Amino acid sequence: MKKKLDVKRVVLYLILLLFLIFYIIPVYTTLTTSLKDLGEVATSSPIKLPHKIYLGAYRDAAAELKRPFLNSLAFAIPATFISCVLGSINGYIFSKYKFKGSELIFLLFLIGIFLPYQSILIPLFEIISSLGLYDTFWALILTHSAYGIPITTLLFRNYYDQIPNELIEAGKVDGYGISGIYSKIILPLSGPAFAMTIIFQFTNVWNDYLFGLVLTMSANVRPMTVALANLKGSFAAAWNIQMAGALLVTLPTILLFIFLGKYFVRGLLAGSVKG
Amino acid sequence: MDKKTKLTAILATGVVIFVAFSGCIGGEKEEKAELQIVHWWTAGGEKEAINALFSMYRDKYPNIGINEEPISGGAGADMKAVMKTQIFAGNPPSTFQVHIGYELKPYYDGDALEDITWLWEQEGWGDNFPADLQEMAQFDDEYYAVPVGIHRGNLVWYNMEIFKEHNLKLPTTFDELLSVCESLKNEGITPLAVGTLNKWPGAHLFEVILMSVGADFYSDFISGKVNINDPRFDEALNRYADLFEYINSNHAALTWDQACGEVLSGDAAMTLMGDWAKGYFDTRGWRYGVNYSIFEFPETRGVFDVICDSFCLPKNAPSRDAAIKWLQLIGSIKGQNKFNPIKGSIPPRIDAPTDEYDDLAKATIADFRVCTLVPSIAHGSATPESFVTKFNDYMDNYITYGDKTAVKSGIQKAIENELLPYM
Amino acid sequence: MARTEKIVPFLFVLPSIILVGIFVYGAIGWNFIISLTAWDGLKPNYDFVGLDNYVRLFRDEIFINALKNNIVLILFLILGVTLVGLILAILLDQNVKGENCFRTVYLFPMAITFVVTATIWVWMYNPTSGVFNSILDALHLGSLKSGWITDPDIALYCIILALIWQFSGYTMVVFLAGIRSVPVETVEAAKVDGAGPLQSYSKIIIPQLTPSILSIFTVMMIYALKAFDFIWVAGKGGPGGSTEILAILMYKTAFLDSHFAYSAAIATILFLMAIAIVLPYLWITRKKI
Repeated sequence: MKKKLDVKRVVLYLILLLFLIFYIIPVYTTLTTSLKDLGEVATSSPIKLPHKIYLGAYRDAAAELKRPFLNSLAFAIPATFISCVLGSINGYIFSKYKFKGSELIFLLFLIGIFLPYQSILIPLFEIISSLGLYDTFWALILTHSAYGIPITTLLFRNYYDQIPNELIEAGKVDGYGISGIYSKIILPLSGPAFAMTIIFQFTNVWNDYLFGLVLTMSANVRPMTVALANLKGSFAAAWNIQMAGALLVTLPTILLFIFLGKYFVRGLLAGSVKG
Repeated sequence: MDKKTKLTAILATGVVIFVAFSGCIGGEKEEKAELQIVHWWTAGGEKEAINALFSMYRDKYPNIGINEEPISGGAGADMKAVMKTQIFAGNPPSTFQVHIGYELKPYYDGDALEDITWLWEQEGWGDNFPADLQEMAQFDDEYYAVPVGIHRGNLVWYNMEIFKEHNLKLPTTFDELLSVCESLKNEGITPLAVGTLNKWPGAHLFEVILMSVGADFYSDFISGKVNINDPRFDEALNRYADLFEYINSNHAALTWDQACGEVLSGDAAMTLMGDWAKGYFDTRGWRYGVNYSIFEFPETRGVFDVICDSFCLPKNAPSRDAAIKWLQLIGSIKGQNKFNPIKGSIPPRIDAPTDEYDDLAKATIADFRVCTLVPSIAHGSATPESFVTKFNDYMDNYITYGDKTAVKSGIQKAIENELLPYM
Repeated sequence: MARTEKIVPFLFVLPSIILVGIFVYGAIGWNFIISLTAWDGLKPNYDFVGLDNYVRLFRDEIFINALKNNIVLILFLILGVTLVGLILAILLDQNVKGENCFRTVYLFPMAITFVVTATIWVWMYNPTSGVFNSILDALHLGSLKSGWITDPDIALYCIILALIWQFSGYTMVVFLAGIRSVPVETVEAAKVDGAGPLQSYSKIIIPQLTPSILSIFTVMMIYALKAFDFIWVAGKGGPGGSTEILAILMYKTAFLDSHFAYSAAIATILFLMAIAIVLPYLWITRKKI
């Protein structure tokens, strides 16, 4: 019987390993290509490691992506901040202070999570340009904040639903009003929720491409994702620069994922199963 | 009180950081005299050429700053998309690069361009540019653009050594072309290299085939006067189909310059491309008349497929004076003769001296001044943009699937929906 | 006092209501109105034409092609990520050493932006020097080489494969959480009744995964409708329109061709399709409370 189990385990690990290779190969080839010079990229197979490490591709990619990186930070941080704060307040109200129609409003927010952005693209563009915000950070901050509210609200509400109502009642007895309870009771308990929502939302905003494409154009405002796509256009045959650029663009979110991954996972799970 | 203060402090810090950020890295444009210019010349000879013009401009007008926004990708396709959005958002630059002809039309229709007939008159340009070209710069007899450089589109570039080795004569009729292709194919050499990754080279090839069927036919076609059942259109489709077996099978994976690379390496003998291909060969050590040469696509003798870069004046342009000075510069002999030799194109002005141009350019200039000029479809001059998109799509379809019926009905629909309503 | 109790909470959520009201519902409504006009070109034109644009859409073979591609995308993407995610989840539920390590690797593509994924996979699919053809060469299977993403017949499936790579970590995580939330007693009871591992999975655990499957289906279907970033960067809908889906068509029609009203009609249809998926889902999961 022991032998039978062993074979099964071997097969199990083999399959897992095969999948592992499937997941890693893209990153592996990206890495090797990014470290080769153009000649080697054209002649040697991507599976092979570079003959000698060539950092020129990273230098070129970084030169193009330096400013866009700052741009992305400049709108991603405020947008994440705003949508998370509003999400927390909304989640608190929808969870603990239901009023007439609040469930309906919450439902309408939920639908907003599933909105295909194409359905609002033209009006959004019109709104942003009539406010004179085209090609500014504010355009992206406003947009991402507004469209981030539904999901952050959901995440926080699910989280606050798990805080026993007795705590709220106790707060009321102590004489605190709505904001008092929020700051004294709810907020201190919100650490994990904020961690999860901030990381989840920051990743979403950082990774956006469509809004950046439509609402910005100049190099001073363009997000890193749009800049990478442009890199692909202007260095069409320079695969090493493209790959270096790709790795640079994804570095922040990958780092977040590696170090704070458990919050990211919680965000994924919490967002996908409705409370 | 502690937690509350902490919270307020965090909020306040956040706001401060944020305001500081948006303050010093704002995307705002300043109000001093500054030429805001958008173009797509981001690499190689093109970049050098426009930089040379910028130096010239700075020397002449040291008090005007230049704020350039080069947008690369798709030979201008990305820039065009961005430009439309920008104009639509009410945020025009001082001037922007645009192909002459129909590429201007969306902006003209959107009331976004200034009529610069007065500038043409002031500079006396009416005598210095070919009449056909001037027509392409007009809508309703009013001028809207200033041409800066011309490329020719109906040229076949060939590997001289291959032709010499196999004793091939330059074909002047389409049948001769086919027999040259047949000989090459039998020798294991790809006769015609095409790179259709970005679609337009295939469409470019087809438009030249249309010209080979007849220059008048081509003019009728772009005016929407051709019915899809016209035998001449059938003839053009058949000619294209005849070439299919002589085109490299991996065309869908190559860009136009990679197709040139096939000729360079000797894997292919010929490629049809605009004369920006010259820059490709020259920068790789090849020389005109030694390693490569050109001939007009068979049966397009006397026809000059015009691809013309120009600049325009948007309404409500910031620093309008700076923009006008720019237009004056590019319309001048000095400006054109500074820009074009570096870029590898030719000056649109027929009174420009030609000493500083190389032999190939001189030959092209001579042709330009006598041939019939026709605008290019694939490069946005001859027909409205949405027609060009469909044209590119269907010709890409044709070279992929060879389905003549599908292409005919598709082009017919495109003519009805995208061409005629917008002429 | 009672009245302030009712108003104050409302006031707290009012900013959000305004933002969502304008940017979501206002925009949807305005988009629908635009789709009923003749707006074409850079200057807005609000002449009313009723449902003309919609009628034209359904006669337009390019639209039908995009619709078809979208459906193919939805079907195979959902199939792919569900299958792979389920397999991975079941495998990882077997007391695997280094489970964390495996999970992290399977999941990390979710943190990568689509633009990066597209850039990487286009390179991998490159017919001359990309990884797939290189590996085939190395294994002496050169005859199997393909144009991959440049071949109109299989381009869409190449994209689907890349998306499965991106998303199956997500489905794995959801399934794993679902599997592990099945009470141990239920599984033990089944074992006592003589169920082997295969049966305990198929008869006991998988049926318990219905909520997980539902939410995955919904999320992935909505994604397939929204998917723009990846496909645009990978080839803008080419070759030959073989990877053009509705979201791509909508963008092209509006921002490249300036046919704004026509594009707004496409956008409305996208919205209706999304609603058709989301409302049943919300209804079903509401009941579960």
